[in-house]
Amino acid sequence: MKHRIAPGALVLVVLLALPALLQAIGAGYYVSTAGRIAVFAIAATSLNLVLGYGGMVSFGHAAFVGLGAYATGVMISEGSTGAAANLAMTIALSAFAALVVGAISLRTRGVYFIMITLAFGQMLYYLANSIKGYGGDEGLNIRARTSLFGLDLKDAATFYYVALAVLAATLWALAAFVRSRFGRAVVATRDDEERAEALGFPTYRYRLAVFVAAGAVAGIAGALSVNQQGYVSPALLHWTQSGTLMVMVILGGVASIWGGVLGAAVLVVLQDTLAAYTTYWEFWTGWVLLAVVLFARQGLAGALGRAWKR
Amino acid sequence: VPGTLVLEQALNGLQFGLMLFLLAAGLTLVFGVMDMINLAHGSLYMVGAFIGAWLVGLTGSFTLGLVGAVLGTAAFGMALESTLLRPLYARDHLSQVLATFALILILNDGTRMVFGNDLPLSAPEALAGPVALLPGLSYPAYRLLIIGAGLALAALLYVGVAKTRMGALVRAGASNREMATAMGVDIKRLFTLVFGIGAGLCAVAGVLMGPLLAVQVGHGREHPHPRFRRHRHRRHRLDPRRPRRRPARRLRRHLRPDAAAGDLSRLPAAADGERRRAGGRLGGDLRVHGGGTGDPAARPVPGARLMERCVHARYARCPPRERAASFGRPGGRCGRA
Repeated sequence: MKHRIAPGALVLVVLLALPALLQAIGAGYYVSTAGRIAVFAIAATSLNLVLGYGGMVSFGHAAFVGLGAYATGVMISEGSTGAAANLAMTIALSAFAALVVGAISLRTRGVYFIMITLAFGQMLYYLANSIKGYGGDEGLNIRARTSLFGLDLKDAATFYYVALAVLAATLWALAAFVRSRFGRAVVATRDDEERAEALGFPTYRYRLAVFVAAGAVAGIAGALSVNQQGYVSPALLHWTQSGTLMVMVILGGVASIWGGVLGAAVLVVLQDTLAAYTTYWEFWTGWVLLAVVLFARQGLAGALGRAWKR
Repeated sequence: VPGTLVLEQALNGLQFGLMLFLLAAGLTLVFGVMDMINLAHGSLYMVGAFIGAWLVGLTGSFTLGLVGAVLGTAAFGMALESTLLRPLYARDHLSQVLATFALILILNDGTRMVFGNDLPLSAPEALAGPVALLPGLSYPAYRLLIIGAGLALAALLYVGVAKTRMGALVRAGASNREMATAMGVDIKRLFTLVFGIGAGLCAVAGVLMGPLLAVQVGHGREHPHPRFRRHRHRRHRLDPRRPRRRPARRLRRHLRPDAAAGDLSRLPAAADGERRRAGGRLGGDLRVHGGGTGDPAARPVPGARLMERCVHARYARCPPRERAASFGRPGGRCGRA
C-alpha cells in the first residue's frame, strides 16, 4: 500500500506546484494551458462516465459543456456573478437538457444512439447560433468573472487551482460511483443489459441518471471554460468538440478513472506542441489518433497500468 | 410574384437535395454492406471538389475537370478503403467513429496542404445564363444541369443496384454478408469497388456544387472546415447590408505594444482564441499557440447552415431580374459585382 501512495503524493505535489514551477522556468503562459487541460479533463471525465462506465456512446456531449458555458456566460453578462447562482443555473440547465436528450435517446441502441445524440448536439449548436441577443454565431464576450470567495479567476494560476479542485472533486465522485452499488449496477447494465434487467435493476432509469449526472458535470466544465476564456461561442457545442472529447476518453482509457485526465493532458499538449511548429497540426494529430484507435485499444491508462504491474 | 418564388425555391431545394442524395447514396452503401460508420464520407466530397477545381484551372475545361475529379476521387477512395478503413470493419462502432473522425482531421488539413485554403471554380461559360422556364420565371441553366445530372445518376444507380449482376452482389452483401461470402462473392473486392463508386458520386456532387458555393482565394478571417469555408466567405458577399467583419477585431482591441513585441503572456486570456484565429492572418506578429481543439473559440466554424442559407438566399434576396443575371458572375452579388 505504501508505495502505491508515494507516487500519487508526488503527482499531487507536482500539480500543486505547477504554476510556480512554470513561472520559475519562464513559461508562465503555460499556466493557462494547464487550466485548460483541467477544464477538458473534467469534461472528458464526465464523458467517460457515460461512455466508459455507462456504455453509451454519446456523440453530443459537447452540447452540455456548451450549455453550461452559455448559462454562466449569459448570467455574468446580465450582471449576476454570484458563484452559487451561476453554478445552480449551469447545473440546472445542462442537467435538464441531458434529461430531455437522454430520455429520448436512451430508447435507442448502437449506431442509432450515436446518431441521435449527434443530432441533439447539433440541434443545440444551431440553437446557440441563433441566439442573436447573446452574440449569435459571433459568440459572447464576458468581461466579468464569477465571483468565488473573492478569488480573481482572471489570474491564470488562481483559475488553475480552482479548476484543479473541481477536477479532484469530479474524480473523487467518479471513484465513489464506481465503488458504489449503483455504479456496479450501471457497469453490469453496460456489459449485459438483459441480465441486469432480469436481476431487477431499472436499467433505463439508471442509465438516464448517469447521463444526466454526466451532463451536469459537463456543464460545470463549460462554466469553468467561460471563466477562463471570458468568451463563449457556439463552436463550443459543435460536434467536432464532442468528437474531441471522445478522442480524449479513448486516448486516455475507456472506463478508467484517470482516462479522461490523461487523454485531455496528452491531447492538449500534443496539439499545442504541434501547433507551435506547423499550421497543419490537425493533420498530424489525426494520424496520432488514428494510430491510437488502430493499435492502442486500451488507451494510455491501460498501457500505463500494464507498465505499473510489471 | 410569390408563385414564381415558391417554384424557384422548390427547384433550388430539389437541386440541393439531389446533391445531398449523391453523397448519401455512397454512404448508405458503405453502411449497408459493411455496417461501418464513416464520418469522413463528406471529406470525399471536399476532395472531389478540390481535385475538380484544380483540374478545371489546369485544363480550362469543366467537363475534363469533372471526369478527372470523379476518377481521381474514386481512386483515392479505393486506396483509402483498402488501407485505413478495412481494418475497422471488424471493430466496434466507437472505434469506427473515432478513426473516421481522425480521418476528417487528416483529410481537411491534407487538402489544405496540397491545394491551399480554397480554389476558384466557376460554371462553364455556355451554361452561365438563365433559361426561361415559364413566362416570368427564368432559372439558371447550370442549376438545371445539376438537377438533370442528379436525376440521371439516381436513375443510373437504381438500374445499377436493381438490375445488374454487381447490384445483386451488393444487395446480397447488404442483407447477409457471411452468406454472400459463403456463396463465393469476394466481398472485399466488391466493397472496395462500391466504395470507389461512392467516392465518385461524392466528387460529382462536389464539382457540381463548386461553382455555386466556391469563392476566390482571399481574405482569411479564420480557418473553418475547408469544406465549408467557401460558404462562409460567400455569406458576406451575399448580403450587402452585412458589414464585412474585420479579422481579429477583438484581438486588436486587446493588442498592446508589449504584446505585439512578442510577449504573449501579457495578452488577456480572452484574446486566446482570437489570437489563434488571427494567427494565420497576422503572420509574423504573433506566434500561434495552442491547438484548436484545446480552445473552443478557435474551432472550425461549420457551415451547413450557411450553405443552406447561401443556396437559398443567393437568389431569394436579389430582385428577380438580377437574380438570374447575377448567376455565374464572380462574387455573385445581385448585379452589383
